[in-house]
Amino acid sequence: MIELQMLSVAIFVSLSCSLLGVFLVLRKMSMQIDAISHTVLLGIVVAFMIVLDLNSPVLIFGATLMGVITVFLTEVFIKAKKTDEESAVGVVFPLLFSIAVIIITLYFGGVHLDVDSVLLGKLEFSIFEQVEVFGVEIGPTMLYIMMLVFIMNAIFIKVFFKELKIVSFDYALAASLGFMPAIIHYLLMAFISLTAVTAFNAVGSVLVIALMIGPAATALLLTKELKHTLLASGIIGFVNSVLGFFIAIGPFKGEVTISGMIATQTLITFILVLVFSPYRGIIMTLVKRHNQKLDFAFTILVLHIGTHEKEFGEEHEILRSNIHYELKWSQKKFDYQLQQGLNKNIFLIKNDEIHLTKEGWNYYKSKKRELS
Amino acid sequence: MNDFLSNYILILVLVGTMLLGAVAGLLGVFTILRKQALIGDALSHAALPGVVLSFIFFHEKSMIVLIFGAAIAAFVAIFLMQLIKKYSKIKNDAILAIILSSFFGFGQVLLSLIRNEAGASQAGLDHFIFGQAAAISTSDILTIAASLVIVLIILTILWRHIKLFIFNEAYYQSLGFNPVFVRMILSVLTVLIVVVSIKSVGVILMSALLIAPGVAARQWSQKLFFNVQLAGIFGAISGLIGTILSANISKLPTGPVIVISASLIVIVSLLFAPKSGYIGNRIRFFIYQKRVSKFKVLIHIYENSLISNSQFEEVEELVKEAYAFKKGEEYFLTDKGMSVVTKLLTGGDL
Repeated sequence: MIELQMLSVAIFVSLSCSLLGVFLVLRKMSMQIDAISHTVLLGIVVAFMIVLDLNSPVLIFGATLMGVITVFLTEVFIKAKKTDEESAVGVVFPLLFSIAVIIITLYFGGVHLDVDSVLLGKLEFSIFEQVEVFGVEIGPTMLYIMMLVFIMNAIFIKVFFKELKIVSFDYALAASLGFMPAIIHYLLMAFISLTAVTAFNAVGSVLVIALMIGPAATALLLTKELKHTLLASGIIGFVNSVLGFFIAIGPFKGEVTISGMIATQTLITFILVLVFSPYRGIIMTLVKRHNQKLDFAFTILVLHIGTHEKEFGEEHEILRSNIHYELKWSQKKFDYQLQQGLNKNIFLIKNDEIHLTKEGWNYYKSKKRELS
Repeated sequence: MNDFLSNYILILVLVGTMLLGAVAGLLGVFTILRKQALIGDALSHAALPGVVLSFIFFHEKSMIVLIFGAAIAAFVAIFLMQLIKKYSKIKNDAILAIILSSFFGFGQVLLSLIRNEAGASQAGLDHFIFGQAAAISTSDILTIAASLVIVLIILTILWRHIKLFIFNEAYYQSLGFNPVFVRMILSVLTVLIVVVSIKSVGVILMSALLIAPGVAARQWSQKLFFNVQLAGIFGAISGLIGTILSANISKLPTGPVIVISASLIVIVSLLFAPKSGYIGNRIRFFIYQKRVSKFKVLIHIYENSLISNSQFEEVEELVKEAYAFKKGEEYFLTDKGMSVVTKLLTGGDL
């Protein structure tokens, strides 16, 4: 039962993150989530200084706001001259994070608000707090929060799908069509920030990065249309958390951190898809390249023979024993291509010279037209 | 005696953080120019599984062993990043995020394994993750100093290569040099600095030390050589300020204060740098605006040769600067004003 509760929390965290992550990856802002997941700590600290209550919802609000402020500050830095996006992120988030750490050590040494627990988070702890209705526990609070966040994210994407799409792919066009991309942008960042804040309560900030970016990037390896990418990202996020969860409590008997295992699984899934994807996977790419190479070599051979066959005094160019010197090929490569040509009935051997058949000439002409 | 001891420790920390700031700063210039500013952040996270694994294999917490593990993990991370970049259309930022988070997650998995196995013996590893500048030792300083020397020697020897490679990789390759070699050298140096410094400043604050001094230096100079020097100096100053502040104010953690000093240097540079600073730009823009409105009046006089005194306030200034003179109620151009107007109207340089 406890396992099931933890798994459901993991799944809903995963789903909420993986949907929004697609837009982060598409907009080349993946590292922004690294920044947000660190700086929300400052939001929490500042909000805590105001309300002095660790369970207040103001903390979540403050953290979300700080996430948006982080994005804003980063953009201010980018607009300054000679600062690219990565440097801006790299200057802003350590600064805000450091301020948070200093405030914590100076003022809240005794309060349970330590850096480790925020950064690393534990799925195992996320189910301690239970929702009670008439004295009956009906599941962890975290689960309901994450469900709510997931539904909000799904509705946000559904309602603003067109706007999000155009802002992600062509910001300038969106602006010229009057979509007010800046508003969509900050709305998206607010949702991402909110998701990050609630999620890292459950799984820690580093896993939030993995859950946001991992499934989205994996889905982008497989799909070409935004709707499909979103769907694939959700499914991959789901699969990753289920697999990671069962590896952690199965072979390792729950002795390892579940969130860490899910992060690891995210990379494993990504690499597997990268290698084996039927569209653009590494293996398919290599096979395709190899085939293209062979095809091209065959075309070269046909063109070579076709060019020299009718020329007087160039018989040595098409001599079976000489061609591979002319083309600077190895014997093996030549033999293979010759065999291919004979099988396809494109070459015929006469007096130890290679000639084109009628079909060969057709092939020669079509290739020549193609290449010129 | 107590005083002497605490002074000795303070100087030790001071030397350590300054050296670290200097070496991270000057190397950071190159990572920023290659648009890989966050590589330090990614690599320092990615080093965690290596650190834990080498601890599991060698059962030792000595600096060398842990650095060795961290370096191996960092190289695996670099290799994976390049593999992904080569065979997919996934952009750099997403690759960094995936590698950073999943390697760190894997490190957490390994850490939780040995937490259960070895009990107390892993306690020291936590410091390796979050860093403890105050606990810097003589051997740490020697390691940092050695890495600074290595970086300086390599930069001196390969200066021209690195410079050309960074600014125009295609041209560098067309001259017959192998860019893979320089890329490797730069990666190796970055890994070296990251793994040497995470023990002192921690994973999270590492990226700031690598980036902030470089960004600040970029604002002051266009020359790579000065940039590198400036970044080194800025890094060292951040270390100095951070250490002194945290030594004098109790409970103030060193690492974050160093980061804040570095960030302040960035902000000051962005505001006050002479050529590209925000304030300098505003002033130049203001002067330019004034000039344009002045010349507008000048052209107006040229075309109409008659204006009432109150119409333009710039006119008195023009008279004072001898661009125009007053005759009765009318204004006319002097020779100086005339030549300026002809230049303006024909598009010549002023």
